[in-house]
Amino acid sequence: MPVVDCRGVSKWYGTAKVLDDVDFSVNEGEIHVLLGENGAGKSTLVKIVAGLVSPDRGEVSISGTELRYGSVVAAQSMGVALIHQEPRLFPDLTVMENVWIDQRSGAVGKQRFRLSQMGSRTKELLAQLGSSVSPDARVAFLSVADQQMVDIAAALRRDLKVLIVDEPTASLTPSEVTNLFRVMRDLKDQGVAIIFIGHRLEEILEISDRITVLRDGKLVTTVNRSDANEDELIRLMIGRDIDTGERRDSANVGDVLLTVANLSEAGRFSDVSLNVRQGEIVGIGGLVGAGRSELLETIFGVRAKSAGTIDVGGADISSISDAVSAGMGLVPEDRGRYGLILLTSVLNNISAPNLDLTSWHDVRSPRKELRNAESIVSRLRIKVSNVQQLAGQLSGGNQQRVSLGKWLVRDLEVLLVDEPTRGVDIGSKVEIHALLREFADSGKAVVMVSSDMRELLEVPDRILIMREGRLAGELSREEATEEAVMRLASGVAA
Amino acid sequence: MSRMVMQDVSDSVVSRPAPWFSRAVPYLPSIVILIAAMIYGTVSSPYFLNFTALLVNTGRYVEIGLLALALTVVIVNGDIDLSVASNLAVSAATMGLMVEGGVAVEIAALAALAVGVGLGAINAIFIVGLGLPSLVVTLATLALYRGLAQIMLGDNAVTAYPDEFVGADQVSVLGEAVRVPMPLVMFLGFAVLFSFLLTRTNFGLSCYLTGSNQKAALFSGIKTDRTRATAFLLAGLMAGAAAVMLTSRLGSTLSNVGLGLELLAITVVVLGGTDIFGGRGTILGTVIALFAVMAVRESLVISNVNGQVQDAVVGVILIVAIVVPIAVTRWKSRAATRRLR
Repeated sequence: MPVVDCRGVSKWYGTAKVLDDVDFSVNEGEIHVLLGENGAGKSTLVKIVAGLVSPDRGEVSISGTELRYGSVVAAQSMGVALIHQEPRLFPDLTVMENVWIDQRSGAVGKQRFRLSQMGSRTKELLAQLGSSVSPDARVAFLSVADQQMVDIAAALRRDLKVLIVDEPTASLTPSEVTNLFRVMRDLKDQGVAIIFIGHRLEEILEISDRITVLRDGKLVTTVNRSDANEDELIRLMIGRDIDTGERRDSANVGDVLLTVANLSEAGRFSDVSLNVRQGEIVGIGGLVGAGRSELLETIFGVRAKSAGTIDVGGADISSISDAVSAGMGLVPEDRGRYGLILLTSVLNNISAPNLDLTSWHDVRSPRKELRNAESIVSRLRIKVSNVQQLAGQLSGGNQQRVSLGKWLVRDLEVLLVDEPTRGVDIGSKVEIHALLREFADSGKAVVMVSSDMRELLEVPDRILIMREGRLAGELSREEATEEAVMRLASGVAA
Repeated sequence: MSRMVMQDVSDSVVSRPAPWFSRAVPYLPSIVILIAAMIYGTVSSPYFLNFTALLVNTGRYVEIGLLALALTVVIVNGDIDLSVASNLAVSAATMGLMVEGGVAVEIAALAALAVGVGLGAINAIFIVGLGLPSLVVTLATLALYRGLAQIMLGDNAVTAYPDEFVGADQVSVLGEAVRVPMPLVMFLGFAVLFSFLLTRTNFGLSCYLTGSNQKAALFSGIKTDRTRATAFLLAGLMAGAAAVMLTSRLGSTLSNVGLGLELLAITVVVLGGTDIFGGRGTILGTVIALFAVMAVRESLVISNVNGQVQDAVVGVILIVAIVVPIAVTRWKSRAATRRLR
């Protein structure tokens, strides 16, 4: 009998179906890998198994007992532990306090532990994981790898049956990865069922017993490792039927508008060089966490660069003011927090970056601001009752149009867009793509970060792929296929 | 969750411009309190409703009003400045020492303004330059500046002001027939200026956007650092102006001058509908609230309520002023969600 058994699990977020009738099981002493593109539903599935998210349909049982939702403690007491990519510990507490965080009274079952016993038990658990971290160390001072071990030690303390690790290797060094895999194999030998989410295929083929591929919330297949190879897995992840986008002719490209040379931000990305020409849309692909958003924000001057240069039409960019006056605009990924000010009007949101155009010696002209806002609202067909409406009251698609439109008031040279159609209805998506193309065709440049594979293949003229903070390669429109993108993004040789 | 509710509301409820009474909501607490205090004062004393006396009394609230105008800008930005009254004391002490040393009173007054701006700049350096929380920094400078004033003056009172400088509040703008005190006119002048600043300049819009969502404002190219720093300089300038005004009214300077005025000024700002978390607020609200606080104080004085009880009443008013708008907003959003079901 499997330890984890999910039957017909479905989950909607709003109108988006993120999991569609998934049957998924993990056996005792098995390492089961979940594989899929960004947004395929892997994280949602493991959150359901860990009791953090309740499914809308279907059920989950752990060792034959049905999981009840509403409290994380239920899944925890059944022996399920979820280790996040960035371990969620209390940074100001010690290792021991974190390991025993839910046992403040000192009572474990019918036994009572004293502090000294808790300390030595913590040491034992960590030793079992091959970690030499002191139980008295403050967690804030530990490396991510050590923190993961503390998180796993806490799980081990509670009679661990199911260990879920969500992309644990992204922020680890190779030797740390080796140690983590050794620990996982040890636990597996002790009969723990392990669910592992990962992107690096060579790692996955090394560690897994079985592999389940998810795509668009559906379970594609579950295969044994012996039956799997990299090419086949990539094909399964992306699905043959998706790659049918129409190809347009390469744009008429002109002079270079944006030059980025050897740009680095310590700990985020390093040595990125690129240039973008008039009439060009350059896509940036890669996995979540590859440093794409950070790159865009650094080019826009929001983040401080640690090395390199950014040049727009001869102007050196080192602050947002530089960027805006040189003719750059950024449409950030998180429109609710950075792209728009939700609690103020559409009018004010559109006016914000354009005050230099509408004012006379810093005195505002309400008439000009209104004219600008209304022309953008009608040009982008933004549905508002009037421009005084609060931006937060608009739908996602209309919010995104405002976030984009406020920059189109200006005579921009370079538009930076981060996930331009995330959480946007299909009609808005098509219109936003057309808008970006129209903008580029008018002799401007666009840099577009996207995790939406179809968008990445259809909209840009060429695609740069980032992996772990570096440019991993470039694909022309002709070379760009989902397979080629995934190979570069996950580091698999062709 | 809350964002989803807001999105849903857009389709059904908010499809026409807000009616006048919903725009007046922020002013309601202070208007209600103003009217209630006037009624209470009139009932408890036949001498209360004397237009001339009321006008003359406004002179004593003008310093609070000047501080409140600048604090409105600071608070709209999402910051706070607790040090304004201590700044006032240092500015007043500077002016006093200069006059005692034989400097012309006009020069000394300008020096007071300069010192006010300078102390505001020190706040700005710590808060904007070093990125420290304004509450903590100005709590420290509240004590620091007051201590500085004590060091400068010790236990002495400066009284060497020339006669023509003393008693600005006794000067009537419209002559003896209708006694409109000069400080009131100056306050209203400043109020118009600040209102213009907040509603009709790029700086004003930058304040609202910064206070509403500093990160998003920054991403929109708003110079949020410059905006916040300017607000602290303005607060310093108004502390200097209030110092000059207060010195003229009292005719003497002690190191404890204006002690505790910052809390009264913040009371006025918050009562006037400015959101203590930033992003919302109007000068009109602050002006109405100043008169409301004045009416409460004066009506309690005239009915012989003692000072401690007066303070308690102001405290109760502040709680009501904060709680009522929040309750109304919650009730409205609940009603909106109910309508959707």
